[in-house]
Amino acid sequence: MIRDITLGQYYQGASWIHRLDPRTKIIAVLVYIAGLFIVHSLLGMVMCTVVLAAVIAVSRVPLSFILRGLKPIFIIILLTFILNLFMYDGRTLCRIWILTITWEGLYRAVFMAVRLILLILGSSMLTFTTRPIGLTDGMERLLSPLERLGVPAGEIAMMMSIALRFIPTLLEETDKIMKAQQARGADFETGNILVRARRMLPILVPLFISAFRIAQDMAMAMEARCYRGAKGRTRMNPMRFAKRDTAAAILMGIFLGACILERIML
Amino acid sequence: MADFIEIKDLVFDYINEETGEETRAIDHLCAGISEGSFTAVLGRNGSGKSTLAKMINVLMLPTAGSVMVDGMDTADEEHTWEIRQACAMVFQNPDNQLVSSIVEDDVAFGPENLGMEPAEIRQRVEKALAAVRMGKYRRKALHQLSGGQKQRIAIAGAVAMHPRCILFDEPTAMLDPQGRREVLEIIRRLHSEGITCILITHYMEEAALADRILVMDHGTICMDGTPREIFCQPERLRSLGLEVPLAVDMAARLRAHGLPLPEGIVTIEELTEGLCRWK
Repeated sequence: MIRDITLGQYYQGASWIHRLDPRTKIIAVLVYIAGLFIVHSLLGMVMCTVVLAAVIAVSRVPLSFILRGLKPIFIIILLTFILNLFMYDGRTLCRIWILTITWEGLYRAVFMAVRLILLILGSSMLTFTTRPIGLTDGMERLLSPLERLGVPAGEIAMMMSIALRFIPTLLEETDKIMKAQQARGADFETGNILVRARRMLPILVPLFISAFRIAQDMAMAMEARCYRGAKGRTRMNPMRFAKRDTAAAILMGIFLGACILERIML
Repeated sequence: MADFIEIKDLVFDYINEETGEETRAIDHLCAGISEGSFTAVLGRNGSGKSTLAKMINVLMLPTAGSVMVDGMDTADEEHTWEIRQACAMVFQNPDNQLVSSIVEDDVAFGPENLGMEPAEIRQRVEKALAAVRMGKYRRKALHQLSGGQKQRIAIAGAVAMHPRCILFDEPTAMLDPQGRREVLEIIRRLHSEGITCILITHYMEEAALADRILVMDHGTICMDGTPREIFCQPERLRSLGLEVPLAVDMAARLRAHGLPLPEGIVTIEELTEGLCRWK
Protein backbone atom coordinates (compact mmCIF):
# COMPACT_ATOMS: atom_id res chain seq x y z
CA MET A 1 0.00 0.00 0.00
CA ILE A 2 2.84 2.35 0.80
CA ARG A 3 4.13 2.05 -2.75
CA ASP A 4 0.98 3.61 -4.12
CA ILE A 5 2.15 7.03 -2.98
CA THR A 6 2.91 8.91 -6.16
CA LEU A 7 6.10 10.86 -6.01
CA GLY A 8 7.67 13.51 -8.08
CA GLN A 9 4.55 15.29 -9.19
CA TYR A 10 5.78 15.33 -12.75
CA TYR A 11 3.11 15.05 -15.42
CA GLN A 12 4.64 13.66 -18.62
CA GLY A 13 4.03 15.95 -21.57
CA ALA A 14 5.65 17.78 -24.46
CA SER A 15 3.85 21.13 -24.32
CA TRP A 16 5.46 24.51 -24.81
CA ILE A 17 5.65 24.86 -21.03
CA HIS A 18 7.25 21.42 -20.60
CA ARG A 19 9.97 22.30 -23.09
CA LEU A 20 10.93 25.58 -21.44
CA ASP A 21 14.33 25.66 -19.78
CA PRO A 22 13.96 24.72 -16.07
CA ARG A 23 15.76 27.92 -15.15
CA THR A 24 13.16 29.98 -16.97
CA LYS A 25 10.40 28.15 -15.16
CA ILE A 26 11.96 28.54 -11.73
CA ILE A 27 12.37 32.27 -12.26
CA ALA A 28 8.86 32.54 -13.73
CA VAL A 29 7.42 30.94 -10.60
CA LEU A 30 9.33 33.36 -8.40
CA VAL A 31 8.04 36.27 -10.50
CA TYR A 32 4.50 34.91 -10.30
CA ILE A 33 4.67 34.60 -6.50
CA ALA A 34 6.04 38.13 -6.27
CA GLY A 35 3.16 39.28 -8.50
CA LEU A 36 0.63 37.62 -6.20
CA PHE A 37 1.92 39.65 -3.27
CA ILE A 38 2.22 42.89 -5.19
CA VAL A 39 -1.39 43.11 -6.37
CA HIS A 40 -3.87 44.35 -3.78
CA SER A 41 -7.18 44.63 -5.57
CA LEU A 42 -9.71 42.15 -6.84
CA LEU A 43 -8.92 43.21 -10.38
CA GLY A 44 -5.26 42.32 -9.85
CA MET A 45 -6.23 38.92 -8.46
CA VAL A 46 -8.44 38.31 -11.49
CA MET A 47 -5.47 39.10 -13.70
CA CYS A 48 -3.29 36.59 -11.79
CA THR A 49 -5.99 33.95 -12.11
CA VAL A 50 -6.25 34.51 -15.85
CA VAL A 51 -2.48 34.21 -16.25
CA LEU A 52 -2.43 30.91 -14.33
CA ALA A 53 -5.40 29.60 -16.29
CA ALA A 54 -3.58 30.40 -19.52
CA VAL A 55 -0.44 28.57 -18.31
CA ILE A 56 -2.52 25.53 -17.32
CA ALA A 57 -4.27 25.55 -20.70
CA VAL A 58 -0.97 25.71 -22.59
CA SER A 59 0.63 22.99 -20.45
CA ARG A 60 -2.23 20.56 -21.18
CA VAL A 61 -1.98 19.12 -17.67
CA PRO A 62 -5.54 17.96 -16.82
CA LEU A 63 -7.35 20.19 -14.35
CA SER A 64 -8.40 17.23 -12.18
CA PHE A 65 -4.73 16.31 -11.76
CA ILE A 66 -3.89 19.87 -10.75
CA LEU A 67 -6.76 20.27 -8.31
CA ARG A 68 -5.80 17.06 -6.54
CA GLY A 69 -2.76 18.96 -5.27
CA LEU A 70 -5.05 21.26 -3.30
CA LYS A 71 -6.58 18.49 -1.24
CA PRO A 72 -3.93 18.24 1.48
CA ILE A 73 -3.99 21.97 2.15
CA PHE A 74 -7.76 22.41 1.98
CA ILE A 75 -7.96 22.80 5.77
CA ILE A 76 -5.35 25.56 5.77
CA ILE A 77 -7.29 27.44 3.09
CA LEU A 78 -10.52 27.03 5.06
CA LEU A 79 -8.86 28.22 8.27
CA THR A 80 -7.42 31.29 6.56
CA PHE A 81 -10.82 32.04 5.09
CA ILE A 82 -12.67 31.79 8.42
CA LEU A 83 -10.09 33.76 10.39
CA ASN A 84 -10.09 36.58 7.84
CA LEU A 85 -13.87 36.53 7.77
CA PHE A 86 -14.20 37.49 11.42
CA MET A 87 -11.11 39.61 11.93
CA TYR A 88 -11.99 42.79 10.10
CA ASP A 89 -13.88 45.83 11.36
CA GLY A 90 -16.21 47.63 8.99
CA ARG A 91 -19.80 47.60 7.74
CA THR A 92 -21.68 44.75 9.33
CA LEU A 93 -22.90 42.05 6.99
CA CYS A 94 -24.42 39.74 9.58
CA ARG A 95 -23.97 38.72 13.19
CA ILE A 96 -23.64 35.20 14.55
CA TRP A 97 -23.69 35.07 18.36
CA ILE A 98 -20.76 37.33 19.39
CA LEU A 99 -19.03 37.13 16.04
CA THR A 100 -19.53 39.73 13.37
CA ILE A 101 -18.98 39.26 9.68
CA THR A 102 -18.19 42.48 7.88
CA TRP A 103 -18.20 43.31 4.19
CA GLU A 104 -14.50 44.11 4.47
CA GLY A 105 -13.87 40.81 6.22
CA LEU A 106 -15.65 38.88 3.49
CA TYR A 107 -13.69 40.70 0.80
CA ARG A 108 -10.43 40.08 2.64
CA ALA A 109 -11.24 36.40 3.24
CA VAL A 110 -12.01 35.72 -0.41
CA PHE A 111 -8.94 37.67 -1.48
CA MET A 112 -6.58 35.75 0.85
CA ALA A 113 -8.06 32.36 -0.02
CA VAL A 114 -7.68 33.03 -3.75
CA ARG A 115 -4.12 34.24 -3.22
CA LEU A 116 -3.26 31.07 -1.30
CA ILE A 117 -4.83 28.81 -3.92
CA LEU A 118 -3.03 30.60 -6.76
CA LEU A 119 0.23 30.44 -4.82
CA ILE A 120 0.01 26.67 -4.47
CA LEU A 121 -1.27 25.96 -7.95
CA GLY A 122 1.27 28.31 -9.50
CA SER A 123 4.24 26.71 -7.79
CA SER A 124 2.99 23.19 -8.42
CA MET A 125 2.86 23.97 -12.14
CA LEU A 126 6.66 24.02 -11.94
CA THR A 127 6.88 20.45 -10.61
CA PHE A 128 4.08 19.26 -12.88
CA THR A 129 5.90 20.36 -16.01
CA THR A 130 9.60 19.84 -15.09
CA ARG A 131 11.42 16.54 -14.64
CA PRO A 132 13.02 16.28 -11.16
CA ILE A 133 16.47 16.09 -12.73
CA GLY A 134 15.72 19.24 -14.73
CA LEU A 135 14.69 20.97 -11.52
CA THR A 136 17.87 20.13 -9.67
CA ASP A 137 20.03 21.02 -12.66
CA GLY A 138 18.18 24.32 -12.99
CA MET A 139 18.69 25.06 -9.31
CA GLU A 140 22.38 24.27 -9.65
CA ARG A 141 22.81 26.67 -12.53
CA LEU A 142 20.84 29.42 -10.83
CA LEU A 143 22.85 29.02 -7.62
CA SER A 144 26.19 28.79 -9.43
CA PRO A 145 26.99 32.51 -9.12
CA LEU A 146 26.93 31.93 -5.35
CA GLU A 147 29.78 29.44 -5.71
CA ARG A 148 32.18 32.35 -5.52
CA LEU A 149 30.84 32.99 -2.02
CA GLY A 150 31.54 29.39 -1.08
CA VAL A 151 28.06 27.94 -1.65
CA PRO A 152 28.59 24.40 -3.00
CA ALA A 153 25.84 24.65 -5.65
CA GLY A 154 26.89 21.54 -7.58
CA GLU A 155 27.01 19.40 -4.46
CA ILE A 156 23.62 20.70 -3.28
CA ALA A 157 22.09 19.77 -6.64
CA MET A 158 23.72 16.33 -6.51
CA MET A 159 22.31 15.79 -3.00
CA MET A 160 18.83 16.79 -4.13
CA SER A 161 18.86 14.49 -7.13
CA ILE A 162 20.15 11.54 -5.08
CA ALA A 163 17.44 12.23 -2.48
CA LEU A 164 14.82 12.11 -5.24
CA ARG A 165 16.35 8.94 -6.63
CA PHE A 166 16.14 7.19 -3.25
CA ILE A 167 12.56 8.01 -2.36
CA PRO A 168 11.15 4.89 -4.07
CA THR A 169 14.00 2.75 -2.72
CA LEU A 170 13.36 3.86 0.85
CA LEU A 171 9.61 3.37 0.46
CA GLU A 172 10.26 -0.19 -0.65
CA GLU A 173 12.56 -0.65 2.32
CA THR A 174 9.85 0.64 4.69
CA ASP A 175 7.36 -1.72 3.13
CA LYS A 176 9.74 -4.64 3.65
CA ILE A 177 10.41 -3.76 7.29
CA MET A 178 6.68 -3.34 8.00
CA LYS A 179 5.89 -6.68 6.43
CA ALA A 180 8.67 -8.38 8.40
CA GLN A 181 7.28 -6.92 11.62
CA GLN A 182 3.70 -7.77 10.71
CA ALA A 183 4.81 -11.35 10.10
CA ARG A 184 5.99 -11.39 13.69
CA GLY A 185 2.71 -10.06 15.01
CA ALA A 186 3.12 -6.27 14.89
CA ASP A 187 -0.18 -4.46 14.44
CA PHE A 188 -0.26 -1.26 12.39
CA GLU A 189 -3.92 -1.18 11.56
CA THR A 190 -5.95 -0.92 14.77
CA GLY A 191 -6.03 1.69 17.52
CA ASN A 192 -6.29 5.46 17.43
CA ILE A 193 -3.81 7.74 15.71
CA LEU A 194 -1.56 8.07 18.75
CA VAL A 195 -1.34 4.34 19.31
CA ARG A 196 -0.64 3.75 15.66
CA ALA A 197 2.00 6.46 15.54
CA ARG A 198 3.77 4.90 18.51
CA ARG A 199 3.74 1.52 16.80
CA MET A 200 5.46 3.08 13.79
CA LEU A 201 8.54 3.95 15.88
CA PRO A 202 10.12 0.47 15.70
CA ILE A 203 10.09 0.84 11.90
CA LEU A 204 12.24 3.95 12.03
CA VAL A 205 15.26 2.37 13.69
CA PRO A 206 15.89 -0.35 11.09
CA LEU A 207 14.97 2.14 8.36
CA PHE A 208 17.67 4.56 9.53
CA ILE A 209 20.21 1.78 9.75
CA SER A 210 19.49 0.64 6.23
CA ALA A 211 19.54 4.23 4.97
CA PHE A 212 23.06 4.63 6.37
CA ARG A 213 24.13 1.35 4.83
CA ILE A 214 22.75 2.42 1.46
CA ALA A 215 24.52 5.77 1.78
CA GLN A 216 27.81 4.02 2.42
CA ASP A 217 27.43 1.70 -0.58
CA MET A 218 26.36 4.63 -2.69
CA ALA A 219 29.35 6.77 -1.75
CA MET A 220 31.67 3.91 -2.66
CA ALA A 221 29.95 3.31 -6.01
CA MET A 222 30.14 7.04 -6.82
CA GLU A 223 33.85 7.12 -6.05
CA ALA A 224 34.40 4.04 -8.18
CA ARG A 225 32.73 5.95 -11.02
CA CYS A 226 35.23 8.79 -10.63
CA TYR A 227 32.96 11.27 -8.82
CA ARG A 228 35.18 13.89 -7.21
CA GLY A 229 32.84 16.74 -6.53
CA ALA A 230 31.04 19.01 -8.95
CA LYS A 231 34.25 20.60 -10.17
CA GLY A 232 35.25 19.54 -13.66
CA ARG A 233 31.99 17.69 -14.24
CA THR A 234 30.25 18.17 -17.56
CA ARG A 235 26.69 17.39 -18.59
CA MET A 236 25.23 15.16 -21.25
CA ASN A 237 22.36 17.61 -21.76
CA PRO A 238 23.71 21.09 -21.27
CA MET A 239 20.93 23.60 -20.67
CA ARG A 240 20.36 26.13 -23.41
CA PHE A 241 18.03 29.08 -23.52
CA ALA A 242 15.86 28.84 -26.61
CA LYS A 243 13.68 31.41 -28.35
CA ARG A 244 10.68 30.24 -26.33
CA ASP A 245 12.58 31.08 -23.15
CA THR A 246 13.03 34.64 -24.34
CA ALA A 247 9.32 34.76 -25.17
CA ALA A 248 8.45 33.42 -21.72
CA ALA A 249 10.77 35.96 -20.10
CA ILE A 250 9.10 38.82 -21.98
CA LEU A 251 5.64 37.59 -20.98
CA MET A 252 6.67 37.33 -17.33
CA GLY A 253 8.15 40.84 -17.57
CA ILE A 254 4.84 42.17 -18.86
CA PHE A 255 3.01 40.35 -16.05
CA LEU A 256 5.29 41.81 -13.37
CA GLY A 257 4.94 45.27 -14.91
CA ALA A 258 1.14 44.97 -14.88
CA CYS A 259 1.18 43.89 -11.23
CA ILE A 260 3.32 46.89 -10.22
CA LEU A 261 1.14 49.22 -12.29
CA GLU A 262 -1.95 47.86 -10.54
CA ARG A 263 -0.36 48.51 -7.16
CA ILE A 264 0.47 52.11 -8.04
CA MET A 265 -2.66 53.05 -9.98
CA LEU A 266 -5.45 51.37 -8.02
CA MET B 1 55.18 -8.56 -20.89
CA ALA B 2 53.99 -7.31 -17.54
CA ASP B 3 50.50 -8.28 -16.38
CA PHE B 4 47.68 -5.74 -16.51
CA ILE B 5 47.13 -6.10 -12.78
CA GLU B 6 50.06 -7.08 -10.61
CA ILE B 7 49.58 -7.79 -6.94
CA LYS B 8 52.74 -8.22 -4.88
CA ASP B 9 52.81 -9.50 -1.31
CA LEU B 10 49.59 -7.65 -0.48
CA VAL B 11 48.49 -7.28 3.14
CA PHE B 12 45.38 -5.56 4.42
CA ASP B 13 44.26 -5.23 8.04
CA TYR B 14 40.74 -4.19 8.94
CA ILE B 15 40.59 -2.14 12.11
CA ASN B 16 37.41 -2.51 14.10
CA GLU B 17 36.53 1.03 15.07
CA GLU B 18 34.89 0.10 18.38
CA THR B 19 37.36 -2.38 19.79
CA GLY B 20 40.46 -1.24 17.91
CA GLU B 21 41.14 -4.88 17.05
CA GLU B 22 42.91 -5.69 13.82
CA THR B 23 41.70 -8.43 11.53
CA ARG B 24 43.84 -9.56 8.65
CA ALA B 25 41.61 -9.56 5.54
CA ILE B 26 44.35 -10.04 2.94
CA ASP B 27 47.41 -12.01 3.94
CA HIS B 28 50.55 -11.81 1.75
CA LEU B 29 48.71 -12.28 -1.51
CA CYS B 30 50.50 -12.39 -4.87
CA ALA B 31 48.76 -12.59 -8.23
CA GLY B 32 48.91 -11.32 -11.78
CA ILE B 33 46.05 -10.84 -14.18
CA SER B 34 46.83 -10.50 -17.86
CA GLU B 35 45.02 -8.17 -20.21
CA GLY B 36 42.05 -9.64 -22.05
CA SER B 37 41.62 -12.53 -19.63
CA PHE B 38 38.44 -13.60 -17.82
CA THR B 39 39.23 -14.52 -14.24
CA ALA B 40 36.78 -15.73 -11.61
CA VAL B 41 37.57 -15.28 -7.94
CA LEU B 42 35.91 -17.83 -5.70
CA GLY B 43 35.84 -18.11 -1.96
CA ARG B 44 33.52 -18.46 0.98
CA ASN B 45 32.18 -15.47 2.90
CA GLY B 46 34.94 -13.55 4.62
CA SER B 47 37.70 -15.04 2.47
CA GLY B 48 38.75 -11.53 1.41
CA LYS B 49 37.59 -11.57 -2.20
CA SER B 50 35.55 -8.35 -2.06
CA THR B 51 38.32 -6.60 -0.18
CA LEU B 52 40.72 -7.57 -2.95
CA ALA B 53 38.42 -6.02 -5.58
CA LYS B 54 38.15 -2.79 -3.59
CA MET B 55 41.95 -2.62 -3.35
CA ILE B 56 42.30 -2.95 -7.13
CA ASN B 57 39.80 -0.08 -7.53
CA VAL B 58 41.69 2.10 -4.98
CA LEU B 59 38.66 2.15 -2.67
CA MET B 60 41.04 0.78 -0.05
CA LEU B 61 44.81 1.14 0.24
CA PRO B 62 47.23 -1.68 1.12
CA THR B 63 48.60 -2.00 4.65
CA ALA B 64 51.70 -3.52 3.07
CA GLY B 65 52.70 -4.74 -0.38
CA SER B 66 51.45 -3.21 -3.61
CA VAL B 67 48.81 -3.35 -6.31
CA MET B 68 49.81 -2.16 -9.77
CA VAL B 69 47.17 -1.53 -12.43
CA ASP B 70 48.59 -1.02 -15.93
CA GLY B 71 51.89 -0.02 -14.39
CA MET B 72 50.32 2.50 -11.99
CA ASP B 73 50.67 2.01 -8.24
CA THR B 74 47.33 2.31 -6.40
CA ALA B 75 49.12 3.89 -3.45
CA ASP B 76 50.11 6.82 -5.66
CA GLU B 77 47.35 9.42 -5.32
CA GLU B 78 48.18 10.95 -8.68
CA HIS B 79 46.89 7.86 -10.46
CA THR B 80 43.72 7.18 -8.43
CA TRP B 81 41.32 8.50 -11.08
CA GLU B 82 43.20 7.00 -14.01
CA ILE B 83 43.09 3.59 -12.32
CA ARG B 84 39.38 3.86 -11.59
CA GLN B 85 38.74 4.80 -15.19
CA ALA B 86 40.92 1.97 -16.55
CA CYS B 87 39.40 -0.56 -14.17
CA ALA B 88 35.69 0.07 -13.55
CA MET B 89 33.68 -1.74 -10.92
CA VAL B 90 30.16 -3.16 -10.69
CA PHE B 91 28.81 -3.85 -7.21
CA GLN B 92 26.45 -6.40 -5.75
CA ASN B 93 23.32 -4.37 -5.07
CA PRO B 94 22.01 -2.62 -8.19
CA ASP B 95 19.81 -0.30 -6.13
CA ASN B 96 22.69 1.09 -4.12
CA GLN B 97 25.01 1.94 -7.00
CA LEU B 98 22.74 3.79 -9.42
CA VAL B 99 22.93 7.54 -8.99
CA SER B 100 20.19 9.00 -11.11
CA SER B 101 16.51 8.13 -11.41
CA ILE B 102 16.52 8.01 -15.23
CA VAL B 103 18.39 5.25 -17.07
CA GLU B 104 20.40 7.35 -19.53
CA ASP B 105 21.25 9.99 -16.93
CA ASP B 106 22.72 7.27 -14.77
CA VAL B 107 24.85 5.80 -17.54
CA ALA B 108 26.11 9.33 -18.28
CA PHE B 109 27.28 9.81 -14.69
CA GLY B 110 30.76 8.31 -15.22
CA PRO B 111 31.62 10.17 -18.44
CA GLU B 112 30.24 13.38 -16.90
CA ASN B 113 32.65 12.94 -14.01
CA LEU B 114 35.49 12.54 -16.49
CA GLY B 115 34.57 15.97 -17.89
CA MET B 116 33.83 14.91 -21.47
CA GLU B 117 32.09 16.94 -24.17
CA PRO B 118 28.25 16.56 -24.23
CA ALA B 119 28.27 15.02 -27.74
CA GLU B 120 30.92 12.50 -26.72
CA ILE B 121 28.95 11.59 -23.58
CA ARG B 122 25.77 11.09 -25.62
CA GLN B 123 27.62 8.79 -28.02
CA ARG B 124 29.16 6.74 -25.20
CA VAL B 125 25.82 6.38 -23.44
CA GLU B 126 24.13 5.11 -26.61
CA LYS B 127 26.91 2.59 -27.21
CA ALA B 128 26.99 1.40 -23.61
CA LEU B 129 23.21 0.92 -23.52
CA ALA B 130 23.37 -1.00 -26.78
CA ALA B 131 26.16 -3.19 -25.35
CA VAL B 132 23.86 -4.31 -22.50
CA ARG B 133 20.83 -4.41 -24.82
CA MET B 134 18.92 -1.78 -22.89
CA GLY B 135 18.76 0.84 -25.63
CA LYS B 136 15.00 1.08 -25.73
CA TYR B 137 14.79 1.65 -21.97
CA ARG B 138 16.91 4.78 -22.05
CA ARG B 139 14.20 7.15 -20.85
CA LYS B 140 12.67 4.81 -18.27
CA ALA B 141 12.70 5.48 -14.54
CA LEU B 142 14.95 3.07 -12.68
CA HIS B 143 12.34 1.92 -10.20
CA GLN B 144 10.28 0.52 -13.07
CA LEU B 145 13.02 -1.97 -14.01
CA SER B 146 13.69 -5.49 -12.72
CA GLY B 147 16.78 -6.35 -10.70
CA GLY B 148 18.54 -7.89 -13.69
CA GLN B 149 17.78 -4.86 -15.85
CA LYS B 150 19.07 -2.50 -13.15
CA GLN B 151 22.26 -4.50 -12.90
CA ARG B 152 22.66 -4.25 -16.70
CA ILE B 153 22.31 -0.47 -16.38
CA ALA B 154 25.03 -0.53 -13.72
CA ILE B 155 27.23 -2.46 -16.16
CA ALA B 156 26.44 0.09 -18.90
CA GLY B 157 27.54 2.79 -16.46
CA ALA B 158 30.90 1.03 -16.14
CA VAL B 159 31.20 0.40 -19.90
CA ALA B 160 30.54 4.08 -20.67
CA MET B 161 33.81 4.98 -18.93
CA HIS B 162 35.63 2.92 -21.62
CA PRO B 163 37.56 0.82 -19.12
CA ARG B 164 40.06 -1.86 -20.14
CA CYS B 165 39.04 -4.01 -17.22
CA ILE B 166 35.76 -4.41 -15.30
CA LEU B 167 35.59 -5.84 -11.78
CA PHE B 168 32.30 -7.54 -11.01
CA ASP B 169 31.79 -7.90 -7.25
CA GLU B 170 29.11 -10.60 -6.92
CA PRO B 171 26.91 -8.92 -9.53
CA THR B 172 24.32 -11.71 -9.53
CA ALA B 173 24.02 -12.35 -5.78
CA MET B 174 20.77 -10.39 -5.47
CA LEU B 175 19.14 -11.42 -8.75
CA ASP B 176 16.63 -14.07 -9.76
CA PRO B 177 17.73 -16.85 -12.18
CA GLN B 178 16.52 -14.91 -15.23
CA GLY B 179 18.43 -11.79 -14.15
CA ARG B 180 21.54 -13.87 -13.45
CA ARG B 181 21.48 -15.36 -16.92
CA GLU B 182 21.12 -11.94 -18.53
CA VAL B 183 24.01 -10.46 -16.54
CA LEU B 184 26.34 -13.42 -17.21
CA GLU B 185 25.56 -13.25 -20.91
CA ILE B 186 26.56 -9.58 -20.92
CA ILE B 187 29.78 -10.31 -19.03
CA ARG B 188 30.75 -13.00 -21.56
CA ARG B 189 30.07 -10.64 -24.43
CA LEU B 190 32.15 -7.86 -22.90
CA HIS B 191 35.00 -10.31 -22.46
CA SER B 192 34.75 -11.43 -26.09
CA GLU B 193 35.02 -7.76 -27.07
CA GLY B 194 38.40 -7.63 -25.38
CA ILE B 195 37.62 -6.22 -21.93
CA THR B 196 39.48 -7.89 -19.09
CA CYS B 197 36.85 -9.29 -16.74
CA ILE B 198 37.28 -10.21 -13.10
CA LEU B 199 34.20 -11.91 -11.67
CA ILE B 200 33.93 -12.32 -7.94
CA THR B 201 31.30 -14.89 -7.10
CA HIS B 202 30.40 -17.80 -4.94
CA TYR B 203 28.45 -19.61 -7.63
CA MET B 204 30.50 -22.43 -9.14
CA GLU B 205 28.48 -22.42 -12.36
CA GLU B 206 29.44 -18.78 -12.94
CA ALA B 207 33.11 -19.43 -12.22
CA ALA B 208 33.05 -22.24 -14.79
CA LEU B 209 32.55 -19.61 -17.53
CA ALA B 210 35.96 -18.03 -16.87
CA ASP B 211 39.28 -19.09 -18.39
CA ARG B 212 40.95 -19.02 -15.01
CA ILE B 213 39.79 -19.45 -11.42
CA LEU B 214 41.46 -18.13 -8.30
CA VAL B 215 40.19 -19.67 -5.09
CA MET B 216 40.70 -17.55 -2.00
CA ASP B 217 40.66 -18.50 1.65
CA HIS B 218 41.84 -16.60 4.71
CA GLY B 219 43.06 -13.72 2.58
CA THR B 220 45.37 -15.67 0.27
CA ILE B 221 45.02 -17.50 -3.01
CA CYS B 222 45.06 -21.22 -2.33
CA MET B 223 44.12 -22.56 -5.76
CA ASP B 224 44.87 -21.16 -9.20
CA GLY B 225 44.08 -22.80 -12.51
CA THR B 226 41.60 -23.38 -15.31
CA PRO B 227 38.06 -24.44 -14.31
CA ARG B 228 38.93 -28.02 -15.32
CA GLU B 229 42.02 -28.08 -13.11
CA ILE B 230 40.14 -26.62 -10.16
CA PHE B 231 37.01 -28.72 -10.37
CA CYS B 232 38.83 -32.04 -10.57
CA GLN B 233 39.80 -31.55 -6.94
CA PRO B 234 36.40 -31.81 -5.23
CA GLU B 235 37.87 -32.81 -1.84
CA ARG B 236 40.11 -29.76 -1.75
CA LEU B 237 37.19 -27.49 -2.74
CA ARG B 238 34.95 -28.90 -0.02
CA SER B 239 37.65 -28.34 2.59
CA LEU B 240 37.61 -24.66 1.54
CA GLY B 241 33.87 -24.44 2.14
CA LEU B 242 32.92 -24.61 -1.55
CA GLU B 243 30.77 -27.02 -3.49
CA VAL B 244 31.76 -28.41 -6.88
CA PRO B 245 29.36 -27.64 -9.74
CA LEU B 246 26.50 -30.07 -10.21
CA ALA B 247 27.83 -31.42 -13.53
CA VAL B 248 31.27 -32.19 -12.05
CA ASP B 249 29.76 -33.88 -9.01
CA MET B 250 27.36 -35.88 -11.16
CA ALA B 251 30.10 -37.02 -13.55
CA ALA B 252 32.30 -38.14 -10.64
CA ARG B 253 29.46 -40.18 -9.12
CA LEU B 254 28.56 -41.75 -12.45
CA ARG B 255 32.20 -42.64 -13.02
CA ALA B 256 32.27 -44.26 -9.58
CA HIS B 257 29.38 -46.41 -10.75
CA GLY B 258 31.41 -47.55 -13.70
CA LEU B 259 30.20 -45.26 -16.47
CA PRO B 260 33.03 -44.48 -18.91
CA LEU B 261 32.68 -40.69 -18.90
CA PRO B 262 35.62 -38.59 -20.16
CA GLU B 263 37.64 -36.54 -17.65
CA GLY B 264 37.28 -32.78 -17.40
CA ILE B 265 33.51 -32.37 -17.49
CA VAL B 266 32.62 -28.96 -16.10
CA THR B 267 29.33 -27.77 -17.58
CA ILE B 268 25.91 -29.35 -17.92
CA GLU B 269 26.32 -29.26 -21.72
CA GLU B 270 29.54 -31.28 -21.55
CA LEU B 271 27.92 -33.80 -19.23
CA THR B 272 24.95 -34.22 -21.58
CA GLU B 273 27.30 -34.65 -24.52
CA GLY B 274 29.35 -37.27 -22.63
CA LEU B 275 26.22 -39.19 -21.68
CA CYS B 276 24.87 -39.13 -25.22
CA ARG B 277 28.13 -40.44 -26.63
CA TRP B 278 28.13 -43.34 -24.16
CA LYS B 279 24.68 -44.37 -25.22
